[in-house]
Amino acid sequence: MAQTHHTGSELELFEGDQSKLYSGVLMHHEDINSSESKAKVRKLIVVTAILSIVTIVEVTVGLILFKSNPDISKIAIHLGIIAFFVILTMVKAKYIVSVFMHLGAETKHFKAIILVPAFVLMGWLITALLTDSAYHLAISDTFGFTVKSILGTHLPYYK
Amino acid sequence: MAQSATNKKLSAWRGGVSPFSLGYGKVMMWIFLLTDALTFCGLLASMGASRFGHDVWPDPNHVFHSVPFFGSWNAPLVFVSFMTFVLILSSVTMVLAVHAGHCKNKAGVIKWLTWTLIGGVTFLSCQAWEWTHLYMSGAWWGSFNDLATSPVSSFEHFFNPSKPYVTAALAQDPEMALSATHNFFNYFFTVTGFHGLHVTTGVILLVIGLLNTINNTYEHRGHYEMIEKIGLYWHFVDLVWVFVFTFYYLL
Repeated sequence: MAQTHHTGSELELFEGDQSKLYSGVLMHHEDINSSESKAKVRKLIVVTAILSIVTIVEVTVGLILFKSNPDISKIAIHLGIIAFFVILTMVKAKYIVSVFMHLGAETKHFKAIILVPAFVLMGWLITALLTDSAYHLAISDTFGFTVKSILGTHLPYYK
Repeated sequence: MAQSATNKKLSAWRGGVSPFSLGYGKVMMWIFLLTDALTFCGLLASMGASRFGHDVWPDPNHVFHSVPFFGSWNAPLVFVSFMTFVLILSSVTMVLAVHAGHCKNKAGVIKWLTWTLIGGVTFLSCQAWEWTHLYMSGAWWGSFNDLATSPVSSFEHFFNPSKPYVTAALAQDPEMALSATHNFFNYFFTVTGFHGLHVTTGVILLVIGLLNTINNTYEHRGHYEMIEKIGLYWHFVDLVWVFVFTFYYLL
């Protein structure tokens, strides 16, 4: 491939993919020693630190929960634990997608093209599957007690 | 004023501008990653539905508690935290490689791609160890599917007896505990296997990108956009692991 790229004319080089001509990929090169470049690297280091700290917090809380065994039959405690980890995970995901994958700096419409289908379809899938398994719990004699004990109307038959 | 705005809008349809200021390949990589994210969401959400549909579920702290070279040390979360850090750090070195490519700094690209490659291979080695360890303790696709061959004594140590209903369920409804264990490992090997397949693909892409950089392919092309595309894929692999880590090992 490389040997076809010596003629110098950009139009010849990118005959099959003209997006190279217009998207600016050939133009916005910068100097690695410039202050702009160093500021970008500093930002990446800060994001790395945030990701590491969040992970350390997650692992520490996970170990504390493992040692202390909170009573997760109380639904508020159980949901609180789940919400805590899911929120921290979303924080990490936000930083990875917006800074590392650079989506935060793309155009508004491109962000929408990626994020709207992701949130809508995933949100619906999770809602649908959890509703289905709640129904499965509710109708099953064997697995019947979680939902019912949440509702406070039933205790497991083998307790 | 209004006239010029109309002209500007029309010219986007005539060609000659890039509406998203992105190359074709990068847009397509994003669309692919969106569909791939939906696949992973399907796997993780169905795992969650299965877990929600069982009254008891194996406790990750009791399943994943071993560290290579540390024998019987009971250390939940330690090894997988190490794996997570390796993947986060390899994501950072990847973004530094992309940055170096942006500056047309060939030596920097080679250096950071090599570190990323080392991170990816380390992660895969850790996963191979973990899979082998679980296989040795009897867990695999389709394992724990019959009480005749897998009595309660073969899987009760995967459960946390201080969690609600666990002791009662193991004693009085072993079929349900067996079904939970069966599903837990089926989903575990499928999800981490599919993720590991992505890491393997990423490592292959990194090797190709590294060889092309060394051979000056991108230097002649005038840009390192291919490194950016590989970078997008690699960060996605890291992103998926963030979710696998939470839903498999923390919760």
